[in-house]
Amino acid sequence: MPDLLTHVLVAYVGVTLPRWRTDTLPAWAASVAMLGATLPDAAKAWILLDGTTVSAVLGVPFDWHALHRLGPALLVVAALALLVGREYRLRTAGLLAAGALSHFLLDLGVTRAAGVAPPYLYPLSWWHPPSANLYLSSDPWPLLLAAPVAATVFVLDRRRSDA
Amino acid sequence: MEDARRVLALALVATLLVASLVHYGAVADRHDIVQSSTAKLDHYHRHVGETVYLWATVTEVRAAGVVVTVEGHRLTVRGVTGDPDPGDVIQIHGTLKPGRVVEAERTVLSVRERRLPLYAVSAIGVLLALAAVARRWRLDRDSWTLQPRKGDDA
Repeated sequence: MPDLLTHVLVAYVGVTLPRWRTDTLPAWAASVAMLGATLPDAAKAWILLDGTTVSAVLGVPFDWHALHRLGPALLVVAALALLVGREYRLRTAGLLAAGALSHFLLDLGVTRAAGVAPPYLYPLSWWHPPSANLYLSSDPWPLLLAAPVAATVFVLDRRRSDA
Repeated sequence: MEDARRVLALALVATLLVASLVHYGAVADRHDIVQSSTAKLDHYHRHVGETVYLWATVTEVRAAGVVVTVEGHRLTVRGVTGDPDPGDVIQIHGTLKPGRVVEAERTVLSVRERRLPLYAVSAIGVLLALAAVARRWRLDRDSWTLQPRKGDDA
């Protein structure tokens, strides 16, 4: 993954730009997509609580990495969508899912020694998609690219709102 | 009625989510390339000659190779590119050789010094997303649901 801030900024730009062309996306759309872009990295919970510790406590196998896969990520999307008012639920789910999908797409760019990304399509498939090998998680340049673009979009969006 | 259905749906989704984490933990060793490679280290001698893809932590740099640990397994890696230091994370795609030596075909190094800035910037990303949600949504205490703030629901 690139850093989470890059993921969030890409989701912001990805929803705000189409909002300028269509009335179907509400003002809250970008905030939901931004949150969705963070969801797959809930798998990083292992940093705070190792999966083997959870496994020992529960007495069953357990792996946080599953949260960084399509199926479990969509379950998190469904859970969060259930927290909003009924009339907003479907659109919220769609925007959260779009944010999460943008996260997976960006993660395909991460450099991997084996040339393949993790099996993101779980539980549908264990296929390892090819990685584009563009950047390391710790490379600053994706953020240096995303930040000025997002800032420009933010300023233009404010101007449009004020007009 | 709506509340009861929502709680039931939430419980169902939460159950499925935990089940998927358990299922993944049970079967990833056989399917995920990194986890299946790591699992091979438990019976190293059986898998000598096989190709592996490992994520390891550098513990020592010697003339004979780079000493790494992968989930408690100590290995020597030959053919590492870059300039690793103890604490760095290294991806290794290579072949298991006798004597717990991995002959690397390709390695990718993530230096330790960049890890803290990565976490810090990522934390800012989470805070930014949460702030955006808080700015656009409010908690309706009658229905215990999140609702767009006034003027934001169009």
